[in-house]
Amino acid sequence: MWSAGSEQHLYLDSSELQALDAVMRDWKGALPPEAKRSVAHIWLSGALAVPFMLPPIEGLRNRAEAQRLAESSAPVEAGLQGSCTVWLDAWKPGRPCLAVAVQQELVAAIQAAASGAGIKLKSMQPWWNWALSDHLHRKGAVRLLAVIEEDALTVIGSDGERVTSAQSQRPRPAPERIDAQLRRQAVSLDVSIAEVLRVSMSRDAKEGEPAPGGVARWQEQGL
Amino acid sequence: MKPLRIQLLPKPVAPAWLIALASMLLVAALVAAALAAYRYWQVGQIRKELQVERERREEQIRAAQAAATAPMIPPSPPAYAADARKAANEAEFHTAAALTALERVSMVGVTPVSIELQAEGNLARVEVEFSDYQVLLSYLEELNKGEPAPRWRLQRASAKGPGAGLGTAVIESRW
Repeated sequence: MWSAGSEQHLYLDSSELQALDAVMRDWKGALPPEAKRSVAHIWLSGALAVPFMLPPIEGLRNRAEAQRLAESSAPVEAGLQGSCTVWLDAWKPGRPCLAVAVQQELVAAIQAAASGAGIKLKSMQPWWNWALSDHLHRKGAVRLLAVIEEDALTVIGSDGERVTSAQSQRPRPAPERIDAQLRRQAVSLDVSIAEVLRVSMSRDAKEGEPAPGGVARWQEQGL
Repeated sequence: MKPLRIQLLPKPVAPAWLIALASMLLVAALVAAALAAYRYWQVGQIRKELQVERERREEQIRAAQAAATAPMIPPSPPAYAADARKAANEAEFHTAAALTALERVSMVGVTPVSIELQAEGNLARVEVEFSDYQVLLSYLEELNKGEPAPRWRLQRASAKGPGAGLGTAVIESRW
C-alpha cells in the first residue's frame, strides 16, 4: 500500500480478480483513520490493462472512428474476452497509435467492489505506465522498456517521440527467457542493447524503490 | 517523449435527475435567449420605424422652411385674365349713376346720339347733337348742377353753321 496525502493507490493483478470485494475491503480496512475518505488510484497489471498498436487504416477520418475501430478490434489485438474499454493515444491519420484495452466487465467489477467498500475511484491505469512515466521523468526518453510483473511482461518501444510498439505477454515468460526475448526484440526494432531497460516489479521483494500499489517494489536494470 | 495520461475509468455519467435539471435549465436559457433576441429584434424594428418617421418629418420641416424663405413668385396670369379684369372694372364702373345723370337732364336742342362707357379710366363719353352752342353749354351746366366740381366737360364740338343743320359734340365725364 502506498499513499500520498489524501490520495491512495491500489495495485491489482490477475491473481486478485476472484476476490475483488475482499481485496477492496481489506485494503480499505488497512488504511489509517485519516485516510478513510481518500480517493483511490487503481493500478492494473499488464495482464489486465493490455497495450496494443492500432495500425494505420486507410479510410479512417477522425479520432472517433479510430476509437470505435480500436474498441471493436481490442478483443483480438489484446487477447481479451468480451467488450473492452479502450484508451487511445493522440491519433493521427496514417500513423500507428498506441491503445490500451481493459475488459469492460473487469472495470465494472472493480467499480462495484470499490463502491461496496466505500472507496471513491479517481483513476485506473496500467502499472507499466507508471514505470514508463517515472523513467521519462528521470531520463527524458526511452527506446525499449520491459516491465516485468508477476503475471505479465509488457514491452514498450519508442522512437524517442512516441510509442511505436507495445505488447503485453501473459502469462509472464520464465525469468531466464526474458532477457533472450528482449535481445531479439531489440534487434528486430533496431535498438541497441544499451537502450533496453527492464523494470521488475515484485510484491515480495525486500529491495528496490517503493512504487504505486503499496506492496510493490521495483528495480530498474539494463540488460 | 511525453508521459501518457491513460485513464481507463469510464467518464462519470450524471444521474438522471441532474441531466433532467440541466436539460430544463438549458431549455429555459434557450427560451430566454430566444425571447431576448425577439425583443431585441422588435426594438430594432421600432427604432427603424421611428427613424424613418423622424426623417420624414425633418424633410417636411426642411421643405416648410425652404418654402417660407423662398421669394414669392407670382403665378403667371391665366389666359382669361384680361377679360376678367375688364369685366371686373365694368362691374365697378358707375354705369347707373352716369345714365341717371344723363336721363335727369333733358333739354330741347340737345339730343344724345350715342353713349360709350369705358371701364378703363371710368370714362363716360356721350355724343350729342345740338342746335346751337348756347343750348349745348346750358346742357352741360344742367349735367354739372349739384356736383362739387364739374364732372362733365366738353371734349369737342363742331357746328355746321347757321341754317346748315345740327352740330355734333362729344362730352365726357369721369366716375
